[in-house]
Amino acid sequence: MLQDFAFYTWAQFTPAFVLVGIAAALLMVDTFAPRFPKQGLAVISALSAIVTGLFILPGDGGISLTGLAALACIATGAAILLGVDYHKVTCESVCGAGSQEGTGEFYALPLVAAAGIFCLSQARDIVTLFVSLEVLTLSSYVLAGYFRRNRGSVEAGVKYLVLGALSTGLLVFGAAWYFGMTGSFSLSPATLAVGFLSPGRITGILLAYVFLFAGAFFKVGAAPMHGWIPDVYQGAPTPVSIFLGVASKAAGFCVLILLFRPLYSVLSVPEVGSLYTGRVFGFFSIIMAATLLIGNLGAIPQSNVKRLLGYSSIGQAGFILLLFLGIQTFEVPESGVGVEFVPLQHNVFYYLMAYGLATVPAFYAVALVRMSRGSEELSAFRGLAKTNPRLAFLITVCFASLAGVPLTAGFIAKFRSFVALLQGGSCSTLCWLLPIAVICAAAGFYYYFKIIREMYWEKPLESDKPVTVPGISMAVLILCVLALIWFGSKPLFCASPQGLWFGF
Amino acid sequence: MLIWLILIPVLAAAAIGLLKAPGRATALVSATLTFLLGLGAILAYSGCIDCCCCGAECSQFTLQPVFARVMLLLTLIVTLGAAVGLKAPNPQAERSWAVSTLLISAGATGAFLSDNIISFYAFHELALIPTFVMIGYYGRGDRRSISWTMVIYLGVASMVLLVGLLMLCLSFGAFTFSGLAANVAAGVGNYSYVGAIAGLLLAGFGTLVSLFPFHSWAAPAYASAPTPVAMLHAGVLKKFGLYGLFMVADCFGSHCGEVFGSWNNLLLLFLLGNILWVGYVTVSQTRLDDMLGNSSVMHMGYIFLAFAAYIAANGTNQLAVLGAEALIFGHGLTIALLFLLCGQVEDQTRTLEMDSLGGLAKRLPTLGFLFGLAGLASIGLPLLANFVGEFTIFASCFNGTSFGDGLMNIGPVQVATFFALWGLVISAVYMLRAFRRVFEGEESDAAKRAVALGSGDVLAAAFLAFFIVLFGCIPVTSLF
Repeated sequence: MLQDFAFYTWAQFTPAFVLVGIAAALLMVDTFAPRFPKQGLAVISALSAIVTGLFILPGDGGISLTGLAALACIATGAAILLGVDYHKVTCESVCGAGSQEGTGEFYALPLVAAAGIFCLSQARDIVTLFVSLEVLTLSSYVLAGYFRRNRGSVEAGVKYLVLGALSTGLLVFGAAWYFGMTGSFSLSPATLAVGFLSPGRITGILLAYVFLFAGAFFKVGAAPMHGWIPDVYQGAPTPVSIFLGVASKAAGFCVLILLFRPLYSVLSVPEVGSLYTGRVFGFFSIIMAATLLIGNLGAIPQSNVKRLLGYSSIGQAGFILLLFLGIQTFEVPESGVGVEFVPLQHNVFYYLMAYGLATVPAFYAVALVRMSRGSEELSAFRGLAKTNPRLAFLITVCFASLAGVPLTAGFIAKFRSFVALLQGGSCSTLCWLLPIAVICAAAGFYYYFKIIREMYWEKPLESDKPVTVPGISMAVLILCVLALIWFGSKPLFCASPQGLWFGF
Repeated sequence: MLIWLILIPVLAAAAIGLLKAPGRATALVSATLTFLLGLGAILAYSGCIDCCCCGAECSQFTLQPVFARVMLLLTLIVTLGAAVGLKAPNPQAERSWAVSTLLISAGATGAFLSDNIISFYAFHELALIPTFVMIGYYGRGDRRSISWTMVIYLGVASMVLLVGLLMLCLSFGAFTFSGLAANVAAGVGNYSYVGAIAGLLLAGFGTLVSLFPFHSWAAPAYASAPTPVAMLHAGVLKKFGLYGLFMVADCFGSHCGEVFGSWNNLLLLFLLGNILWVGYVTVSQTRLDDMLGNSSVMHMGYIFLAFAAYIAANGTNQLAVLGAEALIFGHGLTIALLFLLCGQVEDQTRTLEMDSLGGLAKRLPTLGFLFGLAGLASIGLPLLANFVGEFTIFASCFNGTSFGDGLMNIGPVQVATFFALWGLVISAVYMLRAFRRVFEGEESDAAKRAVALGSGDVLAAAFLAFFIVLFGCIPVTSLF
């Protein structure tokens, strides 16, 4: 059993140690130097997360799962960075205006969570996977309910805790079944193949997988484990919503790929595959359809922007799940099991990057509007094109990218989902899943454009002053928008169409 | 070099929108620059795919198809005309109008020059967005619901189209028009879904071009749109759908009957709906802008007729392609000029109700002359640009049909053409009636409000009218 863990080396986890070390140092400063401005802590924390993320980012994007972890670290950094501008709200909501007491952990905890995500990306067995996931999840519980004078935040914290505990329970249950059926914690294809090929165990393994997937679905926000997302996104402090929306989702897809990889390798054995491939992908197709429908149709009637972004994140998770269908079309090489996952990991990375580049500034915009106009409703964005034309333009690009408007990265991302669906889906799947995907993409145009309409078509009230945009927020917004346009338009200008579904 | 035809307007739009550069002047500079550059590119074109490389990767834009060159020329002329004639109610509106003009023109140029099918699709979407925003913000009448209807119609159509294009590309293993043609010629590809693909393409492209049962978004949208948006959308951008259909059909060459053939009879029925049904709807309009919007929808029927003739002849009917090119070009110029003049009428008289107008030609003879010219062009008078197209299309429908054996080899296309010819009469009715009600007769109160046209107004209209006459004498297709 111990040989399951022989695979790891200490050096492999250096970035996680660095992150935890910085978090511990920040907590020390917070405790022993209470006068030290907490915004300073936030800047240090954000920079260390971003630098770590850039440092571990593989040059080729998402060839390994480390790419997803790097993405999560950078998103964590962006979330903490919003905390700098959002500090006043944080102070008011934690201990009353004028005091900064007790706000230090708010900037240190995300680093611990990011360390958890990094370990997760390195995990090759269920125990490491579970422990890393819990490091991430426990920090998130605290963060979601951090604004203790804000009823919405407390409610979000409690809901997240209760539902999160349930999903953890399911994951542990699945892990127990997995160990029982294979006699090992290792997530290697060989281990699973042994269990799969011995008679009488297949049902048990499939049962284990259902529960393990349920845990992963909770993290990515896929149906039927999506219920927490709208409430928690709406109630949680906005920087935490960014963290949950991007970093935690990236972690969820790490888990999903880690679990899916051995399963798919076993399915490529002909005698197993002929029996079970259809069932596994059928199960996934139903999950995809439900996620797409719930996310995209649920977003339509929303009037709170954070809640809308919550539903949108469910819908986008549905589009990312579609990418998993595409794996059936990649060639399985003779040697090097898992190589066929490279394009899948790459596309998931690309989609999450496009989603993050648009979602992070969208939440920033919500926070800025909230600070100036005191509301997170759609109507608070009214007439922004008149009062802040540049900000309105930046927000427009972000939401256009989320909707999948061409010349933004979001279009290329959705395009890849559709290619995966059309290539990987069997004829009978296509007949019902393709119309659902089309309807959901069209619905996306409807609800994302509601914000653009509000900004451009409505007139501002007499009392509306321009929204103040601090330097850091503006810089993040501009950077994200430039990246969205760059990644979205570059492949369209180049002669090789390969850039459309692989590479940048 | 071709990439600059897209980058210049985009950069100019960014300068106006984000850096507060003056609207009309910047748009004029950009439109003039692209006009000259594009004209140079078309004249200098010698068969090489765009040879400019950016970094390691070559740009995908090409002038290879004749159709692309025709469309580029049309885009350049209409954009310059719209920029010259740009006249907004206030400075802020002027900036928005200039930005939208430039973005629509950049998107249309990108779409027509793209070899990559996904870029072709994406650039068109880029051009649609300013259209929605402008109609919703500056439109006439019930602008929000008109714009929202348009978003829903065109949004769904675009999704249907994207699925159709993806299925097409995946079935034939190429994502470029040139690659598609090469694969079809080499016999590579899977023909089992072609019927469904053709249906999706016809529905998607058809909605974008306002093919009969999917047309109801179009006329109100054009009528409501601010002048430059109406000019560019009705004149240039809408033709994207027809351009796409002809490009795809061209890739299939002699296989195109296999792909689109099963839909041809339904298409004939629909296009007769455009010509006859919408034609009668046009006759009954009481506002000038509604009349022009509907007439534009009606004329699309003729170009679809050319497509049907092309398909029915299994891609051997080159006359149909020539006719479609010429009519797309002529109609683009004419409808742009008509919308420009319609904007000037409203600007001078504050109304577009034809009943309250009248006798405007006495006040503004230049306007009356130019409108008459454009109206006659739209009816299809010889020596004006539309005639070339309409005549060639009708001729192409009988291309290869011999009357020697009685009427035995008259097919559905020929039968449809007999009905379609009545469209000419209908156009004459509504266009001449409109001219009489607006420009002739007793001088109305509205006409008395008219002062004088600005020099920009006359210049823009004369510029477009010049090309209508020029390409009426020299068919545009004979240039390439």
